Amino acid sequence: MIKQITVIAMSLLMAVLLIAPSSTSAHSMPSSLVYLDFLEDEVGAELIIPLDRLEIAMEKNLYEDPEQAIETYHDELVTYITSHISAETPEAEQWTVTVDEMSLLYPDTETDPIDLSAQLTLTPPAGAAVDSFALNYDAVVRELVTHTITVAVRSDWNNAIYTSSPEIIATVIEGNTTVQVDQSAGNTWTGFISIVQSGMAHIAEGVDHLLFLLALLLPAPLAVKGKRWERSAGIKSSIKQLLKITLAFTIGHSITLIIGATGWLAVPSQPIEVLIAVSILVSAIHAIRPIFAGREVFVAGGFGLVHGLAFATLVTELGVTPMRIIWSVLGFNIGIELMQIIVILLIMPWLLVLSGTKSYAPVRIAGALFAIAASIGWILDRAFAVSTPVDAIVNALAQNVGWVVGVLAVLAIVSSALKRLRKKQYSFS
Amino acid sequence: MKKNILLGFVLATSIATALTGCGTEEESQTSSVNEQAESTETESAESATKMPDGPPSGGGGMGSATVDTESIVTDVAATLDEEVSVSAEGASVDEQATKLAQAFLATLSDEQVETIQYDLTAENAAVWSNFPVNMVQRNGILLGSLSEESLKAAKALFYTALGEEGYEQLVMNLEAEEELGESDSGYDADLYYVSLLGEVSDSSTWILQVGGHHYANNFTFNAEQTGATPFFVGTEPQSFETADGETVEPMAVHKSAIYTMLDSLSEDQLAEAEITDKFDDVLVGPGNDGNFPAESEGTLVSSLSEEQQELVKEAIEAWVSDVNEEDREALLEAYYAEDAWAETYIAWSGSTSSEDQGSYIRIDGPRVWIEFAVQGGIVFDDVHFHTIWRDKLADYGGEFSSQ
Repeated sequence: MIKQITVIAMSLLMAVLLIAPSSTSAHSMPSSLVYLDFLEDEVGAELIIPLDRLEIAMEKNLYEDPEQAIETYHDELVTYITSHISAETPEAEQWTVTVDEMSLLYPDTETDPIDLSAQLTLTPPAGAAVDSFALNYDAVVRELVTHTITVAVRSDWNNAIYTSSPEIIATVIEGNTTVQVDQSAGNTWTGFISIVQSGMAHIAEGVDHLLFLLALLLPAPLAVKGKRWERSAGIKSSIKQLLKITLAFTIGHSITLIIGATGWLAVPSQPIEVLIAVSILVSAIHAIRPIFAGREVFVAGGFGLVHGLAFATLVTELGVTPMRIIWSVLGFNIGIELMQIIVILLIMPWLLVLSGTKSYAPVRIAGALFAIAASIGWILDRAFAVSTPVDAIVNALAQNVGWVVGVLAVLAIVSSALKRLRKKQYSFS
Repeated sequence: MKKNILLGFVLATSIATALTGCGTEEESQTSSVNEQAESTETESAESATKMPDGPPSGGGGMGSATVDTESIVTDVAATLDEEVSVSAEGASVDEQATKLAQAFLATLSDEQVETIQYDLTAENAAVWSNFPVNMVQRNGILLGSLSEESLKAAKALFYTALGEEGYEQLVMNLEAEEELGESDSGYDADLYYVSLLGEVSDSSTWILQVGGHHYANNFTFNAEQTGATPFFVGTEPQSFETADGETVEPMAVHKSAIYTMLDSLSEDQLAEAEITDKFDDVLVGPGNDGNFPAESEGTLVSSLSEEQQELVKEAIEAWVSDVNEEDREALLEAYYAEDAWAETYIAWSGSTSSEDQGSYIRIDGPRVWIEFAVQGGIVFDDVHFHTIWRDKLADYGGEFSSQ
């Protein structure tokens, strides 16, 4: 459902973008759109044809009562479409073209035309490649010779093209109605790698996810005494705790990523975004004063479930067929984990070293306060649409990660050196 | 503990300030999934195979264009009544235009000179359109951004290229634009562009482009061929009243000439001249340079009576008289030469009435190419016209003849 709406919204948006970007939207004669979706064994094609242009081409009254027209002229429309589109292999063998569904798309702007959306399936002959063919398309333009058609690849998993950003591959005009479609550069492996990279990029850009994890890890090396954080619990137990928390978070978000990707859960994204901000707030507070000491693993896992739902909505846009959804979930998750590991390896060593020194407390609290401020800003923004400079600051942080890590490293080294110096001093006295 | 909290707070705030102060890019990159779904960026990917050069005739390559309205200093509409005086120096129109263009350039600021000049390439030359300037980017600078002095110099140049009638046509088009502007603020006579391609000198070929909504001319000087095309003229509204109560009908001559030509045909001749293709715009429009149909359709003008052939000539002249005398005579001579005339066709489609959308008339010779298309009203209810005149050999002076 979400996917269909997104697809339609995307189509409309693209149609609007290509045809009419401003108030003078009706100025240009509307053009058609052909979207290609590459599946494992066939290609889906969605034709978006302005009904008023189709009317001229078919010489039938379609625009007066569009709903009625597509019922009355259903067969004629199918015949028209199938006689104006064909696909053939490089050896000139014909593909099979079937019209699955036809519907109307209504524009946002009144002056824009109503479009006919026709969903087709193009199937190659046995043994022929699905990603390389000649598309012959001249619907409307055969009769109305000034019409133009934009052809775009809307989704091609192997080539990392996802429905959120289609790629235009050709413009069809009178006299040039054959498009050589060649998407053979990609394959399952490249598609998988792209998903992994997408997962890595997503987490790298998903500062809120990282901030949650880091907030949890800040107090990880410390032992609780009474109701406060005390000194370091030692390297071994610190690392153990670190691993447990990270693992719990990973398991948590993997579970909901998989569930969410199947599309069974239709969870609205706004509450999730708010919950994510809340999760950061809670772990940041915990980093100052332990509020769930001993139960960090459950918190990590629990909130991990929430974070995973946010990842899931991205994955549903990626793969269409079940096999691809599995690969996408796997790849995306691997990407996320890889990036997570990188971030942890970058930061944790210094935190571990620092945690043994006296300077850890202000650093821990500084980090926690920063996370609290960020999370409050995000809660305000995501729940109440109050805009804050949080995003700007946090993104500045993300872009200057090198500096932050550097400062942290220096602090860690200096503090631990000082500590050792003081120890030596004491041992002399 | 309190000390640590204080220290921590100080640390946190100073880091935050330092980061904002570092001046990094502001891209709101939250993990908000909604944003992904909303921000579409359709990228024109490099096509893997041979594709038609340039965007299609529907004014393709559209997105939105940037119009530097801040640069406007002159109200062009207010100056339209001014007389243009040209002291033409030089024997040929090429020489006159070159001198005037140089004089025009001399009045411009350094910045304007840079913005107005382009390299002489087919790609740059193809950047013109009939669509509103905020829909399709044009070359050059706005007429409205010219100082009074520059505008006068520009007009002298235009007058030399266009001739008296052609200059009048430009003025009428600008007035029509002002009329549109009364109903929709996006239209204004200030929003027309002028640009120069190539080095403006007697020893090099250069192109003058003037255009905006519903108007585009491209004059090529010092070229192999007589470069007076491509020339697009359109109009909406068809007719209107100026502030002085004068009725202006910018395309009265064009409409009348070409429909009179069509009306003179007998039923049989009409049947022969009709083409089944339908048109909702001109076919070989902006961005479609050189894409003339391989075969000519319609009826040969040589099969028409003497009187009818005169009407065809009058129709052709409605467009060709919008350029300077020298070019006009050279082109008409070429169009009316015996062998050329023997291969000239006229054709029509849709309707023989200028009041019907989809009515379309074409004159198609070995060189001459004129299209007249009737579209529905955009700003007003009445139909409006899109027309283009091209020369299959001499578009852009024949400089890019590989097209």
